[in-house]
Amino acid sequence: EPKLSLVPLIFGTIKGTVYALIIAVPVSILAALYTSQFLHNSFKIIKPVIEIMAAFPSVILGFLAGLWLAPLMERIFPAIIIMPFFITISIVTALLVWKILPVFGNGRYRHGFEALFLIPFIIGAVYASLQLGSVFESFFLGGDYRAWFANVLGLEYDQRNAVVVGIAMGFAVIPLIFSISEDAMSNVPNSLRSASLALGATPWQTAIRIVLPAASPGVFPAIMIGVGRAVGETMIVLMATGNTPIMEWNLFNGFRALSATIAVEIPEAPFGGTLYRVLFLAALLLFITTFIINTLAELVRHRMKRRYSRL
Amino acid sequence: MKKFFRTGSPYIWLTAGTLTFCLLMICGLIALITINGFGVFWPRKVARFILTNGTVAFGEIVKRGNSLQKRLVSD
Repeated sequence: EPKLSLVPLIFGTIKGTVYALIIAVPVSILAALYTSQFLHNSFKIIKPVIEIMAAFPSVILGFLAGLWLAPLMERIFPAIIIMPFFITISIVTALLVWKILPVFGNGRYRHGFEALFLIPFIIGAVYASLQLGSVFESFFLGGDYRAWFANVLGLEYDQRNAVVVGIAMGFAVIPLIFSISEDAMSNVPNSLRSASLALGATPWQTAIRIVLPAASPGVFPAIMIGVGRAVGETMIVLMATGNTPIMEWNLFNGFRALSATIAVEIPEAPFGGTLYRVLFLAALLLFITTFIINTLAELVRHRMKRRYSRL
Repeated sequence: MKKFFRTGSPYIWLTAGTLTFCLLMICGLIALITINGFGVFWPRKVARFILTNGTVAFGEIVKRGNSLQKRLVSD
């Protein structure tokens, strides 16, 4: 009988999930915190807009990631590296402009409008980083980022890589985590918030030290549901990873996930053969993983709920 | 500066930035699909060339590059 190993596939699933969550968790939770605590009431329509994405068929995301994003990213990768810095700089610039312009700083547009005010700045930052990507490449990456990665970091860059998957899976996971944790945060009793503000805490301290812990029984399961979705996600990892079963944590090469393997190997598996039976084992593993994650999430949620229900 | 950070407003702006980023990502994705989806109904840009022997050629631009030019220079 042929010898088959599931270890690279389990590794691939873990790698895809980890990179997706590194991108998705901070973005979605901070966005949820802002939406629930600071956003002006007249913009609450933003929440359903993001929730639309939760119902987005993942095959579209996988298709776009594989056919559009991966080749694009290969061309402009240095720009992608500097983009977070430029976005941070643009937020700082926006903050300064906001302070200087009297209409915004002290007038009636005091708070809750920051997110809309930031739109042109962030678009500008993305545009600037696209323009300056090649300059950055020629100054810091020796003019060719692939050669630089290979020589200096010892990493090879594949077109279908974990960054592409992380971004595409981020699209799938962000709306889920955002929606559930936003619900939890806006359901924190107002008395807590008022008490904290009355005692002299700033709005940010109230949000991060009072609202976030009090909402944690809702935020934690949100993350776990995100993990569950990322583990079970098939079409994105199938189309955007290249499906090579390599076991490296390298950000810039692909991997092969359990779910994608089941989809890929079905036509290759003769009925009743070893491969056929191993696919059932893979399916069982996938089920057990998601089952354990969901059970853990539920248990932790109950404990947290007991702890914070006295508030 | 330290006092300014203690007011917490830079962090609020950071969270606002993540929300804006999410919104732009989603709108961008929808715009991308719409543009590429409806783009099927329009022809891509067609280029017209007159070759040195007088024949006229039409075609979609598939790729741009200067490989021909380089060869001519080296010849």
